[in-house]
Parts: sequence; C-alpha cells; structure tokens
Amino acid sequence: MNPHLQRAFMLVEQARYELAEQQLGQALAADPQNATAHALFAICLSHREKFQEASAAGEMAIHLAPDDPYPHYAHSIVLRARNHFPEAERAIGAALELDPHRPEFFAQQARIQLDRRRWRKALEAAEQGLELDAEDVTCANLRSMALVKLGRKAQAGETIAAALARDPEDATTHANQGWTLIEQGQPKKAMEHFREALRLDPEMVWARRGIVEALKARYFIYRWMLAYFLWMSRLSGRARWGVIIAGCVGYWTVLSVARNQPHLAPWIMPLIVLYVVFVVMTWVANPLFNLLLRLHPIGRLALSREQIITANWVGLCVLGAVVSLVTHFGFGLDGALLAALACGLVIPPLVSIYQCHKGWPRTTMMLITLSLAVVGLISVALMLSANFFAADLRLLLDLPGVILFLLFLLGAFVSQFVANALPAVTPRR
Amino acid sequence: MAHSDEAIRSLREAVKVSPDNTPLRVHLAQTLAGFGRYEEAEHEFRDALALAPHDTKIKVGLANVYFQQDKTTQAMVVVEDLVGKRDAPAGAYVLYAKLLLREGDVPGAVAQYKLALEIDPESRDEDLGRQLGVGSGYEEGEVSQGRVRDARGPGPADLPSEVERPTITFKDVGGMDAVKEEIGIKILYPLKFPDMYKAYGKEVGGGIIMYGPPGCGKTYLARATAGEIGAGFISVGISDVLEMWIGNSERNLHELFEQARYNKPCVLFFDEVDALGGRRSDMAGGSQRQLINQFLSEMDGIERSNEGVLILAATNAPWHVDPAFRRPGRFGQVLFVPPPDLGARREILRIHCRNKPVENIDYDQVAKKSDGFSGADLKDVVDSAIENKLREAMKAGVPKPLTGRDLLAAASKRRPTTREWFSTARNYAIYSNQGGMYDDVLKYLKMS
Repeated sequence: MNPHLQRAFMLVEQARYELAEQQLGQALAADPQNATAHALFAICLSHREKFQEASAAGEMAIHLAPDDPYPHYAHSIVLRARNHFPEAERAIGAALELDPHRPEFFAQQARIQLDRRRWRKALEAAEQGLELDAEDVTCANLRSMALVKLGRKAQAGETIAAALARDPEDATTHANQGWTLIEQGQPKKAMEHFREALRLDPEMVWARRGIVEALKARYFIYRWMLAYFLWMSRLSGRARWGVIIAGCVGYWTVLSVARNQPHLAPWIMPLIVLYVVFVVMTWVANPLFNLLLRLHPIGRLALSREQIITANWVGLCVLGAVVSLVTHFGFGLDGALLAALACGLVIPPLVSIYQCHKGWPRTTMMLITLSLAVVGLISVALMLSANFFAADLRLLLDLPGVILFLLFLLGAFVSQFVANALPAVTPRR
Repeated sequence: MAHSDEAIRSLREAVKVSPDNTPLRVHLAQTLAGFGRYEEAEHEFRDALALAPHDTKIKVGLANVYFQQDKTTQAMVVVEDLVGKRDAPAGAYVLYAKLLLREGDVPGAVAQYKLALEIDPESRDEDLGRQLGVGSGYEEGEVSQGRVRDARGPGPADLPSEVERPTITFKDVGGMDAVKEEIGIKILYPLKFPDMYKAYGKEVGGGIIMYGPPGCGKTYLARATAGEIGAGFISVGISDVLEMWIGNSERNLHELFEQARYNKPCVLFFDEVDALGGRRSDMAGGSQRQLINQFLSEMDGIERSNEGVLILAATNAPWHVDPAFRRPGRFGQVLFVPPPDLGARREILRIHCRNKPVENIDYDQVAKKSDGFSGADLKDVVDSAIENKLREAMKAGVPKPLTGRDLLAAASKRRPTTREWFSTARNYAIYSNQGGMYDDVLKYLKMS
C-alpha cells in the first residue's frame, strides 16, 4: 500500500483528520484513481463537516470501484454524518452485499439502526457482526447499547463486562459501561469507568457527558429525574408524545375533579402540586444541577461550553424570578408577580436551545426564545413602570402591557410544545 | 620503482619488435596492472584484444583493469558478456561478484562467488570471501548484510542522508529561556563535560522528546542544540519515515543511527516522531510495528553504544507516541515547548521585520497584542501586513513603510493556531496526566 495512504489510515484512527487529508492529497497525486484514498478522503471531510465535498468524494470512490465494498462503507459513514439515515442504510447494505464478512460493516449498520431508534434491528446487526468475530469490541458495545434501549439491562451489563475482559484498554467500552451503570442507578461505579475512559481517550465527549450525569446523580432528586429522562429517551417518538399529552390531560381532569368535588380537594391538591413541581423539574433540573456542578472541582472541567451557557442563563432566570417574588411579597409591588411568572416561563424554550441539533432547529429555537423574552420584558417593564405614574397615565401603560403579556402567555404555551418537538428533529445536512 | 620501470621498458621493447605477439602484449599489460598503472594496462589490453577478439583471458584482464579504475559500467559490460558464455574462467565470476557487491546486490555477489569457487577452488579471494561471509571460516546459508558492512566498516560515503553542521546556537533562539536551561542541564552538559559524567559512572546518551503546539520552534531548537555544542545534526522528517514503510526499513533506520555514531558528537533529530513511534495499537501493518521495535533497540544501544549521540524528537501529539518510548534510557525526558512568551514574540517580530521598510513600530505593543501566537503565526502577521501595504502602494502609486498600526491590524484579524492544539492538550492534561507528563501544559494554562 502507498505509505501516504497507510499513514492517512493511522491518522484517521487517531482522529487527526486535517493531517490525514494532507497525506491523502499526496497519495492521490501519485495515484488519482485510487478508490480507497477517495473513500478515506470522504470520511475525513465528513468529520470536518465539509459535507458537500465529502459526498462528492464518496461518490467518486464508488464510481472508480463499484465492486469494492469499502467506498460504499465510506459513503454510508458520510451519509450518516449528514443525518441521511435511509440512504446511509442503503449504502451499508450495498457494502454488505459485496462483502458480508466484515464486522465493521455490521457495526455501521447497527449504528444507523440506533439512530433510527430501531433497537431490535440494531441488536440484530450487532449480533451478526459478533457472529463473524466474537471479539469485536465495537459490535459488543453496540449490542449492549441496543440491549439497554430494549430494557434488558442485566444482559447489557454482561456483554460489556465480557468486552472489558477482552480489551480493558478500550475507552468506548469503559464509557459504555459507565452509561449502563447510570441506567442501573449506580453513579459511583459509573464515575470510575468514565474516568478510566477519559484517561484512555481524553477527547471523548460521550464520557465527559457521563461524568456530568454521574456527578449530578449523587443528589437523589436528580437521580429520579435522570431515571425519567433515560426512560423517555428509550421510547419511540410517538410514545413520548403520548406520555406528555397524557400528563396534560390527566392534570386538567384531576384539576376539574378537584373543582367540582371540593371535599376531595385536600387529597388532590398535593398530587397536583407534586405534578407541577415535577414538570418544572423536567425543565430546570438539568441546567440547575449543572450550575451546581460549576462549584465541583471535576464537574467544573467536565461541563461543555453549551451546558455552561445554558446553566448561566437559567440561573439568571431563576434569580430574576426569586427577586421578583421577594419584591412582590416584601414591597407589595404590582406586576412583580407577573415578572416572576415571565422569568419562569422563558426557561423551557431556553433550556431546549442546545438540545436542538445544530442548524435550523437550533436557530429557530433561539429565535423563539429571544422573541418570547423580549415580549415578556417589554410587557413587564410597562406594567411595572405604570406603578410610578398618575392614574390617567397608568392606564396608558397598563393596557398595552397587559395585551403584550397575554401575547407572551400564548407564545409561552405554544413554545412548550415546540421545545418538546424540535429537539427530536434531526435536520439533513 | 626503478626495477619495475626497467622490467616494463624491456617488455615494451620486445613488443615493439614483434607487435603481433599476443601473449607478450598480454604479459606487458598484466605487468602494468600489477604495478597499479591501470590506464596504460587498459591500453595494452585493448590492443591485445584487437589481435585476438575472442580470448577470454584478455577480456578478464581488461574487465579487471576497468574495475580497478572504478569504471564499473564498462567492466560490467565485459564481464556480463563473458559470464554469458559456457566456458568462462573462474576469474570472470570472481570479478562479477565484486562488481555486484559494489552495486549493493549482496545475494547476487554471493551466488557468483560460489560459482567461481566451484569451477576453480584456487580462485579464492580472501577479501571478497570475508566481505561476503563465504569461505572456510563461515557456515553455509543466507549471508547477512550486516556482515558485509562490518567488513567494510562504517564510512560516511556508504550511508544515506547528509550530516549537517548547524551554525545557529541558543543565542539565535528568541526567548524560551526556561526550555533552553532545561536542555542545558539535561543534555548539553553531559556532552560538554563527558569526563565529569564518566567519573560518576553515568553514560552520556538517551533522548529528549519535545512537544508543543505546531510552529513554535521545536525543530529550530533542536538545530540550535546541535550548534551549541558544535555537534553534527541529522534530521529525519516524516517523508523519510514514510519511505521506511515501503521496505528496507530496519536497515535504513540502523544506518541512520550508525551515521550518527560515526559522526559523534551528533544530534539525531526525529521530527513528528508520532509517525515513527505511534502507539503500537494504532499501527496498521506489521512492518510499522517492526520499525518501532527496531527503533527501540537502536535507542537502547544493545548492539552498539550510543555514547555521544543525542537523540532528540519532536511531536505535536505526544499522546499518540508509544509509552514504551518514554522509558528511562530512551526518551526519558519530556519537554514542553510552549508558544513564544512576550520577549520571544518581540524578538521574532523584530527578526521578521528585518530588512524591510519600517516606521515607528512598537514591537512591545504588537507582542502584547499577539498572546498565544506561534512563531509561524507571527510570521504570517508580518506577511499579511506587508501584503496589505503592497496593495495600498499599488493603488496609490507611492510606497509607504510598514508601521506598528499595520501589524496590530493584521494581528487582530488572526486567531492563534495554537488555540486548537491547547483545546486538545487540555483534555489530555486533565484526564490522562500519568506521571505528571503534562504538568507544564497545566501550568501554562494556569490550571494547576
């Protein structure tokens, strides 16, 4: 093999894509028709998010050697990076037709199935890969991920334990073990594995996210919330909506029962309060505990930039709400209660900004949050400033303030649903 | 001398008397060759060959004379013609073997020499036999190339790559005082005062691995190290390493070390050492792993001592270097080469602005505004500022000197390239800092 190509393979393995591209350029200068080099080039480009060029390189590779499975495999990697999942699945299918004996092809297939939330099919693909090579660590990891999603946690744990026994120096396996332990509610043990994973591969974002969750899971409130989050993440898209809508409907029904049957109210009210607290927690638990982690020596370093930004803004909103409440109840300032409400209602869309995928979903979410915040701020400012003017002027300020606040409430109500829907959207890149 | 001249003169007389006497002319030629007068001998042999064009003895003689005069190609033509025939004399095969050896084809030479011995055991050539490892004192079997080289002895002419004698010293390296001091203590003094170290029973050698963001002067520092002690400097770049992957790898690597040992004191510098000594688990092919093993055994100096040889290596990705490299005695010392500090940046800017039309540049201020810039970044700043000036000059038609403001403007448009490196290095320093290897990075990032 051309030594430049050989070096490029090594560099890709080490995730040094820019250098790999340089080597591939030299390899292609010597042999412009080399399909493998084009295919590897496509993989590099997709990692550097140059998607148009990546696809072009992948197609070129297939064009040069349509009977070679590797270019199809590379093309599938590019398509998956672009979130073109059905096409990626077709591409890996073509590679598997040409060579059904490569575990890494099955691993790729399993990854795509996980992306499409088809846990059972992902499990099948990973197991096919393991049939070819029982020691394949990637396939073992994918198998355990699928098992976790299918709720077969014990089996998943066994799979990973076996993989770790075979290769105790594999960072991905350690991170996977960590996440499985989090699912099983053992954050302390999970932490050990995440730290080991990061020692082996300090660049692994997945393990760093794990550390953040494991640290937060030491608080029992968050542990419950996390269990809920993880359970939700296993559900299919439709089932998730079912849960949310059922919660809403249940809440309204119980509330109306309490209204119609006053004697039941003392029993029902705590339930309702608990539910409201829970809903609020689903929004603020994550960023608030992240804010708490900023004081922790390890957590401080493990938080991502996005998490820190979100935590800061949510912290600001909570602070605003508290200050507003204090001014309302302490100084009897009219409108301060509404200000507190506004601060609280901005939080859900704010939190979901960075949960949305990069691209139009994130931009949309950001715009929604921003406009909501502006409308809320103006209306509250109008109503608050009305306090300091004579009666005839007061009405002039109050009326547009109230109208704007109603608009804000409507926007906030709609944005709750948008904030639930948008993070699930994976835009094609 | 007089005696030889006498003999030759009388022979010449005889030939003049009977010019068609071939054996006589051959005798003259052989005598001339015997006294080392190859040019005249060649002439006589050619005349003799004109008389008897099919005489193998004359052809062998002529080829031998060509061989002695280093006219390898001519000798080869004659010998190949001879060997192609059935009844070639043993001497032709011996000569053929010598020619093949000179061209580096050791197995071919061995085969030919053995043929010669089969035809006539008397044609034995002691020197050749020793070089090829063929003869009574040697066992039969594959001949090692090492044996051939041992016999010839290492000489600069046999070895690849040039030895450079750098003229730059530490004085030419702007700033970086801490790094320079470190190198001084760890490696320069042992080489400058070897007796002192010998007295304490400490062997001089071992290596240093330098790491840091790209473009911050690791290579320059290595060269200056060699210049500082007046040592030779052999630089092995990435392309040399890639060539080693194709074949002959172990031998090439061995010869590099041999050359350094021959030219001691010598600095042997491996740039981007992660390509040569990547983690063995990352390496794709067997040949690459073999190369690492060869590298390690050369560094250990098992076969030949590395005394007086200083092995330096540089890498942008120390985390991709096989941990086995960092064992004591190999690259026992790991040195962080940070981006240039304030003083160094000022010096670098001044060097790049040298011989250029400049006007009131406050180098201090520009240096302050370019925190985190690598040497390469600073060069880029000066270049782009000059480019802008040129563009202006083209438009206005009046050339204006470069000012401090131009440099500041250019610097503000650039992002330091070291930032990306540090975002990776930071993670390694936090999570994978075994043995405090990345303590200096943490210190630089003010995280410890």
